[in-house]
Amino acid sequence: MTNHWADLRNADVFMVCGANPTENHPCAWKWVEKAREERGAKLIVVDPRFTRSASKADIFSFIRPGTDIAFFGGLINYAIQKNYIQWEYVQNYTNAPLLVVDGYSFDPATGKFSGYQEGKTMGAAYNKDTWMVQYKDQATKTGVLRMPLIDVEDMTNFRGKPTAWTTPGDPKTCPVNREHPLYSQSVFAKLEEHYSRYTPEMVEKVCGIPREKFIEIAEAYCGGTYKPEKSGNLMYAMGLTQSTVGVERIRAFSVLQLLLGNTGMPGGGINALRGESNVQGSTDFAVLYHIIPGYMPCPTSKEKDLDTYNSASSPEKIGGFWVNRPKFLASLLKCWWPKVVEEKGLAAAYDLLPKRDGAKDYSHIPLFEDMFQGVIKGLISWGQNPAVGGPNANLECAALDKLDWYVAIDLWDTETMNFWRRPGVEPRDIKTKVFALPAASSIEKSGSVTNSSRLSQFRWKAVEPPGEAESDLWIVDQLMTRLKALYEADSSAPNREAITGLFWDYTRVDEHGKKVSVEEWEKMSPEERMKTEIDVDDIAVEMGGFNYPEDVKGSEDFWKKARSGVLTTFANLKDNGKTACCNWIYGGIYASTAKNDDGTYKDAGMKYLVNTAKLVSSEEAEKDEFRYKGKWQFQFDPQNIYKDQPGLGLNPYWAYAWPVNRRIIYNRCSADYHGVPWAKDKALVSWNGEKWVNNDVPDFAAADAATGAAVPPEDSASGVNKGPFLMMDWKESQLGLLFTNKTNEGPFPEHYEPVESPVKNPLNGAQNNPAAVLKYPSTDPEKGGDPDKYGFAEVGSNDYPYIGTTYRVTEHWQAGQMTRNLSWLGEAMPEMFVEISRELAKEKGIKQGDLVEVESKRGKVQGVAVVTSRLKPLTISDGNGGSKKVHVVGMVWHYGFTGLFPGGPERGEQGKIVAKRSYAANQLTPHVGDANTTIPEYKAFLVNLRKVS
Amino acid sequence: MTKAILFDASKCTGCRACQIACKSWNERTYTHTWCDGTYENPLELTSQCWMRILFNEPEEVGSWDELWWHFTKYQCMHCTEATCVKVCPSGATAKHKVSEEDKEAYVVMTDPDKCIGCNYCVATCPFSACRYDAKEKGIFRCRLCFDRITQSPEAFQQGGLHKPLSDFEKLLEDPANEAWLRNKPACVSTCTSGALSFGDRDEMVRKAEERVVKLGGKARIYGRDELGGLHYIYVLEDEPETYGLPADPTVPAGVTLWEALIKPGAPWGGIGLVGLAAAAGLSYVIARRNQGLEGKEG
Repeated sequence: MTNHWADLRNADVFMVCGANPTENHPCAWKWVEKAREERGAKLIVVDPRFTRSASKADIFSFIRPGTDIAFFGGLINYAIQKNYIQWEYVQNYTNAPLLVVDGYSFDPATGKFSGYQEGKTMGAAYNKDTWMVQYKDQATKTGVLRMPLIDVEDMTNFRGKPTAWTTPGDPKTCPVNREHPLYSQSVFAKLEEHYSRYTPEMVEKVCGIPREKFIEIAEAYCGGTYKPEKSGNLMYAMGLTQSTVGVERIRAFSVLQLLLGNTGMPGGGINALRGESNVQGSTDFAVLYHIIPGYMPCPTSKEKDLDTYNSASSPEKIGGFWVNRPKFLASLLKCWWPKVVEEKGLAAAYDLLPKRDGAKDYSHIPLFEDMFQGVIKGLISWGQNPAVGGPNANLECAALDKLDWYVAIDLWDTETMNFWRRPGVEPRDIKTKVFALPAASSIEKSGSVTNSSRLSQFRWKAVEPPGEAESDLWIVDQLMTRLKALYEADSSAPNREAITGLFWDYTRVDEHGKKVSVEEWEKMSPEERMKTEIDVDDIAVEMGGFNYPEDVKGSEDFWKKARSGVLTTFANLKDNGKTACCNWIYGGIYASTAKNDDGTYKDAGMKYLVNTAKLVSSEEAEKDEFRYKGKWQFQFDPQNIYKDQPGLGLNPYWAYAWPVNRRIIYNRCSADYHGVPWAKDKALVSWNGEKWVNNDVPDFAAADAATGAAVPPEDSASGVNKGPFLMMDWKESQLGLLFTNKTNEGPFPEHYEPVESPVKNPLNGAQNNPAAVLKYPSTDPEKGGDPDKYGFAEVGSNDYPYIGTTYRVTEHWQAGQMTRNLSWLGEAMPEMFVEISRELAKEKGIKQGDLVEVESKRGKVQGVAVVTSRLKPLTISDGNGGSKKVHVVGMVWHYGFTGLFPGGPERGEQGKIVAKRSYAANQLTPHVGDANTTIPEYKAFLVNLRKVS
Repeated sequence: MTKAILFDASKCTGCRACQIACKSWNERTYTHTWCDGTYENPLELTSQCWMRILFNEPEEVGSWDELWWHFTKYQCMHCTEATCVKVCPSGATAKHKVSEEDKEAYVVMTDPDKCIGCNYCVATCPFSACRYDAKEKGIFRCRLCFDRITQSPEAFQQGGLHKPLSDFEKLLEDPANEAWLRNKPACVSTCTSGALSFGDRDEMVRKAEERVVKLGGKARIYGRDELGGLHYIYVLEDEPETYGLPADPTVPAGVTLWEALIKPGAPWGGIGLVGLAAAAGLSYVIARRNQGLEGKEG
């Protein structure tokens, strides 16, 4: 989220697209209700189904799964046609007035942008030389050229407030300088041209949204939020991202949000509704292949040494905040390999970092393809259930069959742990050794959790884990301790020092959380040692960062000194190895407890780890049902946690939002060119003539780093290297990108059909995303693949005439292992069901409650028919000039074949389970993903449907 | 002064947290269910399920704009003119006061020790909200979380739930629990969307009326006047039928006769008058009961 959950209350119009927050984020829904009740906010829901969210909507429309870019492109076109553009914002804060180089083009006949390289995919699909803007000096890329899209105060640099509007304050009345000699070269003109094809009629043809309905939505959203003081809010989730064009969908809406001036505003922004309480934390800590902690790129074989890696972020090459990257990397290296840094220097420590093959994709789909190919021999999955949640689950299980060993770490006995006895296979045929490690749940271990709002909290263990279950930290510790011993013993082990030199000298705590002294540790037997755990508070110190202590006498002294030297902000991190921090974006989170006169902490918002939550002794714990007193009272500043000065729900003293406790990202954009907030009741930052007055932590250069002098608003609006989008790494200015070369499939998002589609692409000549990988080994007969078993249905297939889509329900969670084992939730939503429209049911002779089978090219799954008015057939273009009626078949993907409520088996009388055959909706989904991230295309594929007699 | 729960259907998201919270607080066990082609489950109120959310949608719609999906919290309504109290021959089912300040009794509960299992209340409830459990030998339904909203320990036990009083007291020892626990039924405490609130009935009616004005259109209040006033007040956005609620719930005429003439201890019963009308009342109650039982078994 660029904004945060509580900020939803400040929205004027909500667009819920590719999400179902009422269903999947029920606790957050209260903020939407608050905005509707107090601000009269409007709610628009666009979804293939009339969902629980739709039931609360002011405006609802169905949409064909997989066509969101056509819809968003339609909105962009509509906003431009009606001049619903927040012009002051667009002229000053975005790259709209910049000029595109000659040679850039898009050809609707081929569906490709300039620079396409036949046969190449992902990052290599395009030569991006023409996806550039013009400079005074093109060779050195300095002195970017601008033009005045509208007349503004400063007509030398083309910045400032509009001067020619007929109704001041209403951007719609700004005349656009379309006659300007440079206009046709501007990013805005290219944008206008690109989306001119996305007419309401085209939206109807592609998405199945009737023209009138589309205009109603466009008026409500674009017309309702283009005014400077109004905020439009996009709430999206996996319905947008899980696609071959997932990234471009989000970009398309980001472009719209910039045009309407909604980004950086309270109540606005681009808001990814995370589906898991700590998924934000897991990406922050780089549980991904392409980054290392804090969103630094994972080094590839091209970045051979530290200098090469650092040179990419040198001030000569880039601008914005990322010029500080060498400091973050140095602190990370110091944290991981302090001895190596001290003895051999940072460059040697960098050498220990594994370098990935830059051309290779290590995400979920390619990893399973590699297992299927026998390249990968062993797998550890941690809190993941791919036999239910993975795309093309039949293929992914077949890939598991080929492993030598598989370790599953989970709370429950998952389907993936039991893949060797899934319906349809003989256990004796599968040779994979499977190990299951029981893990502790979130309340059974201590640690931090970071939610969609980027809000991090530390939670203390509330109850002991059951049986042999252990915390994740314990499991990592055991694994690492053993690995270290093995590497120590083998002097020829590859990259040995990376393991042997890895810092592991943490404080140990016993089962009751009591510290184990070094003397006690030394006396312990190996069995006793196994019962101890790393003190999670040490990890928190590493997160917050510290001045690396010198003259240390042993581990206890080290941690004592580290704690006394914790940093107050990541700005204190150094590039010389004198500081350590395992994740710079959390830098300062473990700060001092010094207080101001008014009782607030000096490092306001930083200190979230003050240990006010005292673990009671085990003796007391036995007496007390709740075991641990005050487990939720650890927030750093009890007197101020509810303090919310401007009443915007910022609550700066509640927990900690990275970076630097900033609640709303890009908040410079909440004020105009001269630093006056667009809306008085939505003031985040404002310029009082001398300095900035802030309700939120400024997300721009508010003060000069060297002198501390206030930077005037005109400079931070669009001055050279001082733009409002601070995290942009462009050297010239940090502007909102309407036009970019950062994505793999084009500088503007373009609609491409899902890989399995009932129609030809009506918008351009490319059926699918030209940059996506459409052929993996599993579908390549030359590589042992089987396209008939794992491949795709052809366009407009008669064998698979319906569009399948998958989703979640509020009663169950993800791959189901946590909720399908709870009887009350299982009672409420007991088994696999398939939602179909009354029209399709009539065609197929299916009645409510009948057992039906849904089949795709890749598998079959059975479920109970939920025949409903909440799905409707859509009339769309067939891509050949005619029209076509398409039906959508909806399936929940929670169910599997293990647990109290397997969900997917065949039933006999009174719902009694008689056989276990098909089990999961993802047995139907294809192995294909986005051209940037490879997130699988779960939400649109082709199926057939029949009644099971 | 009586209390009531306000259910604002315009804010309900159908998440069913209330349904689960009801089970959790009242220690109701799992019952076997299966999907019958709707989101609803369990499909019936039972002794183990005292409240459930109904999912209502239209059969046919002319345009997308006419679509709706209405969620209804469904349970015992604690009617002022409570049919179940009228028909109960043993006096087990009665209305109770929550506190001494209450002018009238209004929380309908059945004392398991006095219940003879005649099922008359099950048969005649206008909302079909009473359930008899042969195993636990008693009538089970929403008790308005009598044990939570009351301040007196006696009342806690009077609720007829076999839960040790110490549980409740132990929870209250922690001041952090006070706010959410005391004075609020479990369903209201757990509601995240703000659809449920609890308080003085007059206040709830006022709040509902205000909300109805704000919503406009076909919005209406339900439960204010029905059956002398329910202790569940509903804010609906459309006709009650679209929420699965009876448009005009009434005490069946037969029940009135039965109460007046035949029921043991009835004002006219002592005279021994067994007239045609009384016979009609008796046959009504018994026929409904048999119907109900057959329905259950079928």
